Amino acid sequence: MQAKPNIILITADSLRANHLGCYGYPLPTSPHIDALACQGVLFEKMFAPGIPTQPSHTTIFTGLHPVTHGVVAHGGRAKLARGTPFLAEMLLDEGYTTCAVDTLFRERIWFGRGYEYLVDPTLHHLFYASVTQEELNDRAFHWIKTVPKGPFFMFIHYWDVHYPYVPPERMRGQFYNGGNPTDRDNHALDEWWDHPVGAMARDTWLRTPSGLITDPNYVTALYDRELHYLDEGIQALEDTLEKQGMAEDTMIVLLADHGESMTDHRIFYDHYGLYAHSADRALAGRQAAHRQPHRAFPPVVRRHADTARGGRHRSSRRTRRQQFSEATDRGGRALRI
Amino acid sequence: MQQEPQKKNALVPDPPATPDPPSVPEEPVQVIRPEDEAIVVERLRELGYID
Repeated sequence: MQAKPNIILITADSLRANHLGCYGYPLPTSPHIDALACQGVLFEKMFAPGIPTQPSHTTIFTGLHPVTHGVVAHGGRAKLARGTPFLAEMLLDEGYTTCAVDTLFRERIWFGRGYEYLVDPTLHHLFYASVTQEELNDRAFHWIKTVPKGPFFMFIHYWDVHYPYVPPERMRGQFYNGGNPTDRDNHALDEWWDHPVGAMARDTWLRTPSGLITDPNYVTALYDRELHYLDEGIQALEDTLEKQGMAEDTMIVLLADHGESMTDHRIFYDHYGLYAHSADRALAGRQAAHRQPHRAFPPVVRRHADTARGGRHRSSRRTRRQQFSEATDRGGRALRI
Repeated sequence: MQQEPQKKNALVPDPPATPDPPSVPEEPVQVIRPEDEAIVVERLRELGYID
């Protein structure tokens, strides 16, 4: 066993917590993520302090509230101060080989801080959110198999459940109750077409040769299929770690940057507003976490790295192994925090 | 001796045909063309969502 654990931090952009089985969703959208939660720790109450992607990810990597780090929206001139501690840099200093499979550093420069390797498969797309888990995993797996010579930190940013929701065609039929997706008499989405993002959807990914998709239940099914597809990707990642003999030495932390509204509060398939569907987000991890609010996320990860090498937290904190054992001793049910 | 095929009794009506199940509309096929992605990028830039 390695002295320090490998750490894989996964963010699933726009992953709505209550569409996961481990958060009570009745449809089988996420069997593998549910299993991950069962093996380790599940945070039942997890709130994004800032929406959307850039403020939230800046918080994930700094442990600071958006009002404190200053990045409160997309656009604008706010920059993360150079002296602000950043998780990837901290781990680099701890001797980790660091890699991001992500695109955020192209939007804001601080998201590249601390990475020796920046891998961006989204360059093959005009819109970065169209990248698939398979494209990201293809590069991530290659890196995992060939590069690390010691402990590594990898950040993977998946976009499958961010709009546009265009799941693989093989998933047709899943999670839909058999209505008419293109019923011209269904006007439930009419008011969305007046919103710029709705108009964009109407003119692109909801327009099909059979007609315009008008049934909100069908759009929600597309989201759920994307989630199921992402779930397959998480399992593929775990399988790769297993085959490489790295599974026991690797901490996996999966979280969302924010949730997603389906049609709640008349916000259609987007993420804004101080509502639970946008602010609630998922966090599950294997071999992870103490009882900490999520702004303390970077210290939590660092503490694990420190604990594993016999650092100063060993005497006062339970080890990762103890936590893992406690979780599995509950009959395979997740340790819920 | 070969048996003659049974003649249809005109007095016995044919059993009622099983009604067809209600037709379920086929799911649409999403086709995202490169120009669609370009529209998405253009609109999101206009909104200031992306640079």
